[in-house]
Amino acid sequence: MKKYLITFSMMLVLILSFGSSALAMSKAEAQYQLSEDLQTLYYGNTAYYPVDTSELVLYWQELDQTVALSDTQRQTIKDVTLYADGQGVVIEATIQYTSGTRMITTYLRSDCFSDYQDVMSDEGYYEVDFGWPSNNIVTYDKSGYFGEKEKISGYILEWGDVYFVYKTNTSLSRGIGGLIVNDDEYYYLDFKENQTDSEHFYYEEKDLFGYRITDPELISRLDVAKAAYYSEDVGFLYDDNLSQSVSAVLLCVVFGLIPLGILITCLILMLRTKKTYKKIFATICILSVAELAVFTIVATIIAMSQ
Amino acid sequence: MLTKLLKYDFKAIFKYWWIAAISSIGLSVLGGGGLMLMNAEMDLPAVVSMTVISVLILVVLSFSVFVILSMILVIVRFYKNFFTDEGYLTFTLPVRRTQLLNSKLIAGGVVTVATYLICAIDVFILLFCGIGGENLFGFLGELFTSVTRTMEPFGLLFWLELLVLFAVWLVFSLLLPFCCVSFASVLTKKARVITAIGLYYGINTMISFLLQLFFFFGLSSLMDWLYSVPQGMAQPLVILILFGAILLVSVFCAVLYAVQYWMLDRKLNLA
Repeated sequence: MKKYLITFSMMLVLILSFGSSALAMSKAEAQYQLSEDLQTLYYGNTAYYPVDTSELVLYWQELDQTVALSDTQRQTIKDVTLYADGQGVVIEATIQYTSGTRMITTYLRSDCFSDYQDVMSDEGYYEVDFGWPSNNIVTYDKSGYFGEKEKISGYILEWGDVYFVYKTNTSLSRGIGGLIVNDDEYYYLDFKENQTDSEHFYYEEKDLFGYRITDPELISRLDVAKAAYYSEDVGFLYDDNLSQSVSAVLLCVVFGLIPLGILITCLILMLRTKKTYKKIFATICILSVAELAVFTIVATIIAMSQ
Repeated sequence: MLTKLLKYDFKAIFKYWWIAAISSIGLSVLGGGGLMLMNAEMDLPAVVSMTVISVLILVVLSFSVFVILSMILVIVRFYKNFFTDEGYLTFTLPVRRTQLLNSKLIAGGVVTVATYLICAIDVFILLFCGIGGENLFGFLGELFTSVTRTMEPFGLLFWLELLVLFAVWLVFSLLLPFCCVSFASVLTKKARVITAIGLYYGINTMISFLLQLFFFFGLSSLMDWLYSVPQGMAQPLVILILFGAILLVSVFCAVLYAVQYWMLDRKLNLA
């Protein structure tokens, strides 16, 4: 009797839990709706309107919810896929038409338009996120911090460390430029002024112009942030001095010590063997001597030019 | 006598190699056709698209399989000719040990170069069908001229050194498995193949680790150092560095050759 009671109770609990979760899911299954002119996207009582988000920094996630299409819309629209940024402020709708064409529109939540205006303007504070450790951010106001506009050399662009500069608020973020760090110098490169963007400015073939940061207070804050970046366990790997030292040691061992050891060993063996072995060891000795000579010349040239 | 040795080595290797080569070219032609189909912007059914993609994956895999197979044929020829019953006959021939070793190296080198040529033809066919002949030749021409211009006036010498470095590295890549097979035959009687594979894998892992260390630390430092030398010195320095690399790999090749010769001469174990 007790066995049957326990079994029946377990089954009842299972059925009830399935039923309630199905009910909960069905109740939570709110849907998006598009207006007939596709200029408004609705989700419950919240409206979204189209904006240009090409300059914004957005990380998309596909939404599980679907778009409820009206009968008129179903005649021309085959399917709508939705992506949202992490905060649900911006939604990208990919509308697949029955004709085979496709249209992508981004919508902004109606209560975030003031944030959008703020992030799209050039006024206000900019942020540089060094990325490591967490919250290693330097904030500054663009005006009055920079020197004259100058051409940024290819060497600095290629070998300097680049951190992106954002105009950001609680809802949205826009990449506006890059902070280039070359040893102790900081340069700010504005994307709009150079008609480029974060993806392409590395590969531009035209000359790029930026501003050297001259304000001592800002420079000291950037120095602190940079030091924090390099002080972490992983940061030392990006220290140029360390990498130069390690590579110098590595090259000396591979190009210097190992051939020297081989030379000495083969010299000794050459004196103790005859015929074919003697010829082989002699060849190895000649090659080792030549290699050591070339390595010495190269190392001397590099050392003298440092 | 060396030519006779080479003749039989080539015969033994090419007996199976040519089948793999023809298959590889055939698959690349098939893959090229598939790429042209996908580029034609037709509304292909899903089944056809999936089949074309599967063929392309197979084609790319076939390149690796072909290269590995060629290497296996060379090593198997080396092993069978020296370390199996066939070795009893090999070492009774009126030839020097160096000639025996050289014939394996030359045959292996020729087969490897032929394999890379076939792979280059395969890639060329795929790229030709994928991006078009004009774009492909344009890209290759641009790459060649930009590198030659950067290395002026040592442009041609730079390409020649790269070629020699490739040749020397090829010899090294042949001598290493030969030595591993010989070591394994000297060390063990029963588990020769496994021991040889283990030795080869271990040494290769070590070399890869060193190369990775170099690329992680050394490459950017090398570029910094090249930037710091006076104007006009960078190109001769690159030429010297390449020459040094050629000599270094040659030293390692010579050492491996000596070790291999010594094992064949003094440590052969055909029992």
